[in-house]
Amino acid sequence: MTLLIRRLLRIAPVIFILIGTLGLEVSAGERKLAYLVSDNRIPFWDIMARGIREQASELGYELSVHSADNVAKSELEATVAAIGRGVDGIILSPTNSSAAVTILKLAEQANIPVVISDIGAKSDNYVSYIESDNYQGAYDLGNLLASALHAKAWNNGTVGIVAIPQKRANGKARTEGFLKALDEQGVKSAGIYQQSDFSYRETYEFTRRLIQDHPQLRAVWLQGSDRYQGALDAIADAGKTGEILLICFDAEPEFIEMIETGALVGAGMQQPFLMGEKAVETMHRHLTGQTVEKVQRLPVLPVSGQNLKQLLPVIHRNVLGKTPQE
Amino acid sequence: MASSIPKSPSLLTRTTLAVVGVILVVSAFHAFYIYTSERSEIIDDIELDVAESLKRLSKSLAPFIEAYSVNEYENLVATETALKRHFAVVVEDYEMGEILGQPYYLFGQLLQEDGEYLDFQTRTAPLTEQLDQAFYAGSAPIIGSTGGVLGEVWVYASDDVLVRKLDRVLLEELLTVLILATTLSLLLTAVLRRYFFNSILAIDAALKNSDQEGIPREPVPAFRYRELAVLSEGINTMVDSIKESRETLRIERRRLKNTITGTRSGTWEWNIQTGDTVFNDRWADIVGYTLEELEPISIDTWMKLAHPEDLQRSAELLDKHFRGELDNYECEARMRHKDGHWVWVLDRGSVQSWDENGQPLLMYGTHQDITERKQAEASLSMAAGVFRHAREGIVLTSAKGIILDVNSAFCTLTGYARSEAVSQSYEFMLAADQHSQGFRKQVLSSLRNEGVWSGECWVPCRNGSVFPSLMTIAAVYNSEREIEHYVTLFADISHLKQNEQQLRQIAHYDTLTGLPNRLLLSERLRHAVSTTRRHGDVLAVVFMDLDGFKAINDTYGHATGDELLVALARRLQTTLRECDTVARLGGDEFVVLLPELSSGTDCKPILTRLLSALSAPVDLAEHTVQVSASLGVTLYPQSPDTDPDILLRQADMAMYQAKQRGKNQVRFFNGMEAHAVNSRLIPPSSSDQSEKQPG
Repeated sequence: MTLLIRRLLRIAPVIFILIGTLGLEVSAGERKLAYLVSDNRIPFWDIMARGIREQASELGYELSVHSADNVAKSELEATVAAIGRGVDGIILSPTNSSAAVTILKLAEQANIPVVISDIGAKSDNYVSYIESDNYQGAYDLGNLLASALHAKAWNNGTVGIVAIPQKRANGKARTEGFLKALDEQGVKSAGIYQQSDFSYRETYEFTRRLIQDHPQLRAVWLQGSDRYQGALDAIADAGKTGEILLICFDAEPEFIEMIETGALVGAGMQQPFLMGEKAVETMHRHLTGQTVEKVQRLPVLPVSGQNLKQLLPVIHRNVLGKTPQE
Repeated sequence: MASSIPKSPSLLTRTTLAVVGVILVVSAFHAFYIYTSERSEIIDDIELDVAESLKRLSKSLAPFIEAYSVNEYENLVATETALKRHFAVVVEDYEMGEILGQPYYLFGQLLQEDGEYLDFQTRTAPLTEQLDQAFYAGSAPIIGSTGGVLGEVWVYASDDVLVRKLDRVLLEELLTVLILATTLSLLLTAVLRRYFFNSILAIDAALKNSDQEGIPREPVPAFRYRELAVLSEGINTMVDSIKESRETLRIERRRLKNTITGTRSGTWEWNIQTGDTVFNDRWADIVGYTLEELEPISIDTWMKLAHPEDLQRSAELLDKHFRGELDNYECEARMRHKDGHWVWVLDRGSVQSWDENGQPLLMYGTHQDITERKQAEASLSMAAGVFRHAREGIVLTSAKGIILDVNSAFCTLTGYARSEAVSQSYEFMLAADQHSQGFRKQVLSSLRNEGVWSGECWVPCRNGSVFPSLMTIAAVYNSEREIEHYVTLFADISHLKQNEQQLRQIAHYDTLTGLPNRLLLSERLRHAVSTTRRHGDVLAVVFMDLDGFKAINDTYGHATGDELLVALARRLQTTLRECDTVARLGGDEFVVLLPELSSGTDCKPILTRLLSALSAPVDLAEHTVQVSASLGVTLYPQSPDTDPDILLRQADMAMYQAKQRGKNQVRFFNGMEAHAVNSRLIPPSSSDQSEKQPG
């Protein structure tokens, strides 16, 4: 008997490897997930990774996070490595939607389910795609800005837009939602510039041109968050501080204070932590044989001076990824 | 002739079909040319497309491979593949292969039957087989920015594009051909109909309006367009020429027919090699048959009817003709008539066509009935014999009277040589001083009216003498009843004339005295009566009878009596006037006619001389005798019904009275009629008085 046990123990790893290789679910604790992220140096992805870790840990998955640092080769190597390790699922925040296609293809060839979080893919061979509801968020943000303009009785004021590339689905959704709200509120759009290199200089220049070209300009909507300083500086340099409002999509940690001070009239805040959690949860449901939605849109928080305090706990967790301990 | 026209194909239809055919053929060639050109171009295009795609992909894929933008270059490949509709494109990505731990990462797209592209990452056997079946393939290395080989790209082209494009080309060409052929055919048909066939139909209508021989009655109308105008003019010229030729032919045919009919010639056609023969009705008619009776007709028909001897000669002549020794075949031959006798035909002909070997093929000829000519020739031969050997002189003169020929008898009779007579006038034959102008007129009139004159004529001789001839001159007419010749035939009738003279002498003259006898007296009396009646003068008829003659005759014999009569006859002849006639009736009776008297008394001196002459002594050979004469005289004219016999009887009666009154006297007739005459012609003192001569 002892000899038999010894022999079984001796071959157990081999059996486990074979079972793992065959992809058989033995138990949740033995399942592995990989999160392939484009660049976790970016706070948004880092916050999302934290949400994924949190949820994976909670559900008992072994998680490995691979940041490609926005390098395609690294991303592919990470993908191949993850596949080589025999992960049960991949949470993917690709460097871009095109790269996602290759990753999805490789995963598919290895019969590994993929849940995409936030960045879309130009293919549909994934389990679920989780994204922010850009349209609704932008729509809410438009209403928020219109209310601010009306509050200031700048009824004839126009709104300039510095947009992310409109070929991207999120960019297009944001613009459409925002303009719809403006239209409903009777606020006119002054013009739109489309970012290409997402630089400070570019943001500053586009903002300056809007101010220069549109005397009635009373607000600038920045569809991103990281180059908000360029817009502020342009407004300031134009001597329009206080006369031209700035509103952004996405969030930066300092936005809470800026909203509080009125430097920023509002922001549409995505919830990356929540998205990470949702991704793992979705993968788990898939792996456990449950039906999952192909596309899941999470709300964008329209944060303004009026609702900041109310939303602050949610912002801290889901937007900024701060745990209660932090 | 017209029956074949409906069966003839329509020129318009044929032309249209030909045009359509030509268009289709040309279009087919064009389509074939386009097809091959397109095929070549398409293949070139395919090869170019492949080359360009390879060039483009190898260049454009490199940055993506370097950037590990697999999906990007896959999209690029897909875009290129879909854009160029390549059969397949395969990319081997060495960079990605390195990541995967493989020689290369493969991405390919293959065109499927449904037109969609199938992505594949591995070369399975079926895929490889499909790729191997690609129409064209090319590959190019993918060179990185550093010059390293990042992978390789293959582009495969199928012939689907080629086939599809060629199908499209074929369809387009077929449609083009169809539309072009239809349009061109319709247009061409319309144009042809408008400008050509309508004109042809007009020409056709003009040509159909033809007479029984198919010659158009009206000229073909003139056309606006030069070619048709030339054609129309040419047809009209040709039709005119045909009409003229037909008229000429008709005339010639009529002439030929007339000639054949007129010459009553039989005609024959003979196929020398087959023996087939054609005769006309006259040919059969010459030998008394109908053509039906001669059936079956062949060259044997001729050979059966021809005289064997002539057939032999005919064969020889034919052979010579066939050999070219005779230009024409001509043979006189006898043929057996249906009635059994032989008829002569002049068989003439010549070979009109020869076969390719130079052998005679067809021969045409005529038969002419020359039986009459043959008979005429025989007659002529006989005539020539007569001409040559006749004892009568024969002279042949022209219508104008020029001597053409004379026979030897002429020369013998006249002493002239033939050469001396020929070319002389017909006057040459007549003794000029022997024939009055009236005679000549009579001869000419008779010839003119009756064509013949026959009579006696004096013919001159070379020695200047003439001889009487019995001459017959006959006019010889031609078929136009015109005088062609005169034939004069004469015989020397000198002996006949002499005999005639002798007979006439015997008949009219007293053989003893040579005085006219009773017969001649009667003629002269009638002549004298007639002349007296015509001239209105007086004729005295004297009946004279010798007194005492019987005694002398009885005394001295008849010879002396005859000698006396002869002597007295001489005496009477010398006593009377030249116009008077003294005739001996017989014995010692004489009658004297004294014509041309102005009155009855004029005869008295003559009567007196007569009494004196007769009563004078006559010295005979042995004796001198003397007689007297009793003369009875009657005078004329009398009543119209008084004829010469009555006058003679009256004179006889008066002579009788003279006898009774004492002889040697003259007694005038004194009957009732004579009395009346005497009372008028003779002085009343002497009317009943006889003149008594002394002695």
